[in-house]
Amino acid sequence: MKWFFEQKVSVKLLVSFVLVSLIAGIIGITGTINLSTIDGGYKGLYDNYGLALADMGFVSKEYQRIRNYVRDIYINDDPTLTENNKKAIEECKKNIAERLKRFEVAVKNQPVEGVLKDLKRQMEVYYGESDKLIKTIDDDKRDAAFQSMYNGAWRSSAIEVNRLIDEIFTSMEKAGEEKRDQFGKKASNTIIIMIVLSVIAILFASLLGWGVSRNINGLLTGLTERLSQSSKMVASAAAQLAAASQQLAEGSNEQAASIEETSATMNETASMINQNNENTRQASDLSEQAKGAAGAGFSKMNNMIVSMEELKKSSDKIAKIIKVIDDIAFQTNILALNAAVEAARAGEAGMGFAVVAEEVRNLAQRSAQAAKDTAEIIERNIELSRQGVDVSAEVLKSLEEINLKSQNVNSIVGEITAASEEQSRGIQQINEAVSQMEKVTQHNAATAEESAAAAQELQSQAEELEHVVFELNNMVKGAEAEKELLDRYKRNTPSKKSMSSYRNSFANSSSLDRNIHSLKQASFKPVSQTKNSLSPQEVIPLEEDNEF
Amino acid sequence: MAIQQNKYLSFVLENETYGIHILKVKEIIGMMPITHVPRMPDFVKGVINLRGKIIPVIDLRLKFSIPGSVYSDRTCIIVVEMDCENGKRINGLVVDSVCEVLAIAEENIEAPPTYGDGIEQEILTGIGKVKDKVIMLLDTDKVLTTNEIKAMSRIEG
Repeated sequence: MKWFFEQKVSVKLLVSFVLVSLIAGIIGITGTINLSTIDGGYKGLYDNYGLALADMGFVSKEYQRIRNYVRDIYINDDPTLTENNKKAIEECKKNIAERLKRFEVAVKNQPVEGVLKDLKRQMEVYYGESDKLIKTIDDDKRDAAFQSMYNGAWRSSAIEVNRLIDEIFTSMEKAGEEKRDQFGKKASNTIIIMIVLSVIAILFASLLGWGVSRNINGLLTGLTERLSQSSKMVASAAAQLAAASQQLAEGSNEQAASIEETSATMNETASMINQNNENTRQASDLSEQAKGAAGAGFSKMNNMIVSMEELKKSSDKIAKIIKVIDDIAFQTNILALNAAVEAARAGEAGMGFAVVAEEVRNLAQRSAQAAKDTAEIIERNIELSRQGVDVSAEVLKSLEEINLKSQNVNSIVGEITAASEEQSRGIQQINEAVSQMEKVTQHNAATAEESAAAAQELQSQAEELEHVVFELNNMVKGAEAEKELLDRYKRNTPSKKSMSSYRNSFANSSSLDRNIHSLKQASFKPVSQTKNSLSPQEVIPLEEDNEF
Repeated sequence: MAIQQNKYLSFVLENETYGIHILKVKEIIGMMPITHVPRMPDFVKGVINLRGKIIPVIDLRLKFSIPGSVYSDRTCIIVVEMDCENGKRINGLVVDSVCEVLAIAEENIEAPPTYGDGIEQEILTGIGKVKDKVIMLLDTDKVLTTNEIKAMSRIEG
């Protein structure tokens, strides 16, 4: 029993119906079996007794006809008639044999079978006596025939036949009565059994029905209570969901605007970075040019150093020449002095020569002075050119440094360029990400609006569910449920709508569907087009469903 | 003739300017190879062959005990005539450089300063003043002492 109440409703109902059907089936089968038994009995009664008795009656009638034909043969001399009678006797014999055969089949295994054998034997005896008698009549032994007919063997055999037929009739009648009593008893037993079974079945079916219905009703009542609560909770959750979706939609729109601003800023940054790239490229060019200029300066400086060296060499040569001039001047000076000495020795005669010698000495002195001056200048030149070489070396160093530095600048600029390109790529990626975000945000907004619509639909569905619960409750509890539910609604529903209005609103659900449909149409518009012009309140008119 | 008498050949030793009377000067030659002669006083550098004549050469720096006797391309040899007991002698004097032939008036010549026994001062005839400079006028005859001349006399043919 416990197992039964643990099963689901369909199983319970199925089991109950199967049980009731089984009981009905048992009743039906019992009745059918008994009826068929009785039917078979009555058929047997007819076949084995009714028909058999009819056959026996027919046999008796034919037998009497044979007796009559035999008497006619004796009475009439007309050979034609006699011949006809003989034929009629043969006809009768054939009929008797046929009926007896049927009778034998019908009474097989019955007590009357023994009597039937006696009858058949006696009939043969009678036929034999009849043939003898007819032969006697044909031989015209009328007296002998008469004797046989009224006192002889033919008559005794005929009586014996009659007696056996009567015995058969009596036996059959008795057996038939027994059979009838037997079937009658059986029929009355069957009726009693049927009545008892029916009463049991009615009681059992009622009990089962009561139990199952009580059980199912209890379950359904609990379920409708829970369903009602659940539907209320679903409705409130749907309302919250709708509000949340609306907020989400608003947030998504704000986010979309922010993302657009970000995108604009990113674009500005990208253009600035491009400008930077251009500038760094120019800087790279300039530093490359500086490097080239430094290189050119370097080679020119080298040339200059070479020239300086040449200059120095030339100065050295000039110095040597000056030295030679100086030597010559010195020699000339000595010569002049010697000349002066000689002139002095010559006395008066050497006076003029002394003047010449003095002049020569002066020239030599000037020559020496000029050579000295030149030597100084050359010396100075050499010094300057040496300084020039030193300065050139320093300049060369500086140029090398410039070269090195511009290489550094170049590499740094290259790095800056690479970094800028990297940055540019980064900005590109950020831009892509931002546009992706924009798409996602728009999609979010659309989804939020969709979910708002869905939440609203959910709300209406929850209300519909409540109505269904009400219907179900009604179904489960009947008329009293409506009053109870009405009281509960009056207590719990803040809008204090009556159940009838609730039902009316449910009846107008097709218009609600239309509202939802139009709402979907509105909310599925692309957000990018309506982003700034369409507020979520416009998209989701939540105020409308407050009356539900 | 008076003018002739007052002409001097000026030369330089170290930082000082000396003068030799021009009639004492035979000739002035540039530096030339000096052949060292052994067993001679230190100041005698050796002899030179001047156009076939062997002439002893005296380094005046060494003679006057002036250190740093280095010959340069300005170094000259003044060939002078010396009067001594055995007649005239020809000697070469190595000087740092020769300057010029100067005429110094008598009034510009003063007697050399005298201190002590005055032996050393005998080699100067006087001190000439030319403009702001002072020129020591050398008496070539007394540059060498008698002993020195004797010592040197054997190298003269």
